[in-house]
Amino acid sequence: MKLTIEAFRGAKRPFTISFDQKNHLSVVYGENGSGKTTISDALQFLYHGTAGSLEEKSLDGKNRIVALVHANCNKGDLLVKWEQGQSTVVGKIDGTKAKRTGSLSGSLHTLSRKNITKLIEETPTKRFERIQEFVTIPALDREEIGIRDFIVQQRQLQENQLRGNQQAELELDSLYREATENQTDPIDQKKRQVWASGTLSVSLATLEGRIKIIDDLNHEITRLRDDFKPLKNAYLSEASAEKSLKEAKELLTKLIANSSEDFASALDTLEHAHSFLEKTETDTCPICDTVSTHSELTEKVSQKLLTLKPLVVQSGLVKEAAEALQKTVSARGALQEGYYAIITKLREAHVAACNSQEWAVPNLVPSVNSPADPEHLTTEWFESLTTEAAELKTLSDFVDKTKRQLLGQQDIQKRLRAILLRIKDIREQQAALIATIAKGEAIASILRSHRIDYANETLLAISDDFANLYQAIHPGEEIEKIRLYLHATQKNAARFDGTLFGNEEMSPVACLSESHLDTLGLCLFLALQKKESPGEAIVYLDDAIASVDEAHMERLYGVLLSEAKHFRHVIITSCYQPLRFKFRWGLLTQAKVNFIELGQWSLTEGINLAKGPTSEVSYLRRYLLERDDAGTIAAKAGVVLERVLDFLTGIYQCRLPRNPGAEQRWTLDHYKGGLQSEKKLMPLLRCEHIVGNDVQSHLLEPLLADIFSRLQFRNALGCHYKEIAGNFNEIAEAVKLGEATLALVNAICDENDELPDRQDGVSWANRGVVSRRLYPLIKPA
Amino acid sequence: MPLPQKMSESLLESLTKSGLLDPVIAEEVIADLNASKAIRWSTLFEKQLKLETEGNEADN
Repeated sequence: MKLTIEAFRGAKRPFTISFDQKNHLSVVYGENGSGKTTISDALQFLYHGTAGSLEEKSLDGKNRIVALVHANCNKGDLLVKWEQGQSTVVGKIDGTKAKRTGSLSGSLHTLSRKNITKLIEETPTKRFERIQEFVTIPALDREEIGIRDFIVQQRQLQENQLRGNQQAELELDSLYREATENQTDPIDQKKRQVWASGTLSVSLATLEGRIKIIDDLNHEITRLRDDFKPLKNAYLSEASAEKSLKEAKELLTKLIANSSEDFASALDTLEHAHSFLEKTETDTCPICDTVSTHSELTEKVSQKLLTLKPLVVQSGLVKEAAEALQKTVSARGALQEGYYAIITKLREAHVAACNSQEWAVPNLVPSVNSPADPEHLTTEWFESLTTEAAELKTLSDFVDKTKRQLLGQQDIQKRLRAILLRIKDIREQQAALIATIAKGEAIASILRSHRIDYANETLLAISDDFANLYQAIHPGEEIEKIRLYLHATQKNAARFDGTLFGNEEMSPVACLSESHLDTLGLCLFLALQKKESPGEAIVYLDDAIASVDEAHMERLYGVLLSEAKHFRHVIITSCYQPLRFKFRWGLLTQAKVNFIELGQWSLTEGINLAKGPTSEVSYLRRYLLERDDAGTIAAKAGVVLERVLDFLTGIYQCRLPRNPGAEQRWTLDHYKGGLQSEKKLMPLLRCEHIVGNDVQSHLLEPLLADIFSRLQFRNALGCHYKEIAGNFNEIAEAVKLGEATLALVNAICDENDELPDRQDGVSWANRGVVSRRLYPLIKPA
Repeated sequence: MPLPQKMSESLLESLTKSGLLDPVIAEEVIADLNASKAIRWSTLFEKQLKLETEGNEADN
């Protein structure tokens, strides 16, 4: 597996780090600021699309993903590449989000120092959040929230219904006041109930029937009043027509008296003759057979008719007057019929009203009751009706008043029914809501109990593993049956349970040291991870073991090495120097661990792997050739010596001070003291160079003695004691120190200047072409 | 992530106990949980109410 990052956080230039898949455990060592967290962030960026460690930090409103870009690079330059077998996955930034191409297999779980603390020391609720992904079934969690949200919605509906019910009750009060003109406050609910029952005791159909009776009566009274005039006018018209006919007849009589007696028959004959002549061309008079011309005949007949014209006209007027009179008589008759029908209906409507026995209906006036047929509706009858108009108004007023009352009653009843129907609906809906909420709560409770049971079963299932892991690191410490559990009633609270030092009431946070709490958190994390498809998981422990002391270091690494095989890979980062030396000493340099050391970070270079003696030695060789500056040669020789002496004191476990000083580093003098104190070891130190059958042996003691004798010079030069330094030929002394250092390197290291890094059973061996073997394997007792 | 078999059975039993949910609807809940499908609780309760109403009408 190989991770390459560029323009990402601390990595400006492309930086690649490989994790040997043969081993399940990689240890990344680096001082603070060397880029360990950048590697963790890169993996989280790729796997989770997040900004890793920046997620929990305030960036003053700046986008976290964009903040991952190296300070001197552009967003488009950012690259995170993960190569595993044949697959390559690339992460870039698209806008303000992480964009991944290629598919990742497995999962990544990161645990930082800060998160370990949270795992153990946080409140039970926060602790639950940390372990939630391991102990919950997402669908169950989601639906528990879903049903609770649903219940909240139903409760809101219930509140709305209650408000609706209150509103309806207020409207009912208001209607009661309006209907009864009762202004008492508060309203007597019993009285209101009685009123409502009374109001609704009359059915809507009955009420409508009563309204119809009154409406019919009202309608006929109105017609009696409104249709009176046409009939009265008809009588007047008839009288006028009679008068006109009489006058026309009298005038005609006078005209006839003044004309010949036979004017009528003559007129008739002449009119027929005139009509005949208009139709024929004859020249003979049809009456007397006198022969003349047709025009003369026509002229004579016309002149004769003209002399009789006034009679003709008046005769026509008499005829018209007679016809007009006939028409008025007919019209009056029809109106009489119609008006009589109104009277008949009015009588019927009145009888219906009286028969309903709902009201004391005023009587009809005699003129309405008296006519037995239309002919009785004479002008005299009308006069009697007119005189009774005031009496009839009593009935009319009764009808108006009763109709208003009935319509008011109908309106109140309709409104009352609507309000009561609303109240009924609301109450039914409330009952349904109460039932639904009760069921919802029961379901939520079931989901919750199953969720808690599942979480506790999971936590119980890992409790043995958790305790065993912890016991492996802290053997003999009285922590028994310690486990996490979800509290039954407290919401999402993960609490510790068990016995600590024989005390069941003791909390781990109260009685365990910082480092114990750290290992406790780490063990819990590992146990949870193992439960959750571990084979595919990459576990990244970012500086998670900082507080572990040297005494527990080996046991912790033993546990991690043993546990790592359950995962695809476990990566541990640390800035803990004793850890580095443990590896350097070979105490932790196991075949199954990849030890990766990060070098010094710089803004321009970014993250880089620590350069071993190889490159430092090559610099030393160059400086020795150039011989320009004594200080440069001495300084570089010191760096190389630190590496080699660190290696030797490490593998032979030489005694070194527990506190190596303010910089937390051992100096050359510390290494010198450590080696010189090994009286038995020093004479035995030798390195064999084997080429075929040729074996050359190099004792290291003289080489080391030569070097140690020259360290004072380096110290003097390095410490600026110029008055002492003045006693030296600086460049010559520096060259001698450099050459002595190279002699030691050439004795121990291979052609790549690599130190021996493996044990062959009897010696420390390296991997060069010229095989070198460093003896002894262990220091003599 | 589907529910463990034992949990499915236990949930089904609890959800149908005392007529809390109709067995058909409770089966739907379990199926949705196993399929990680979001449950529409409002629709579910409508169905439940409908079934209860139909049952009451049949009884009457």
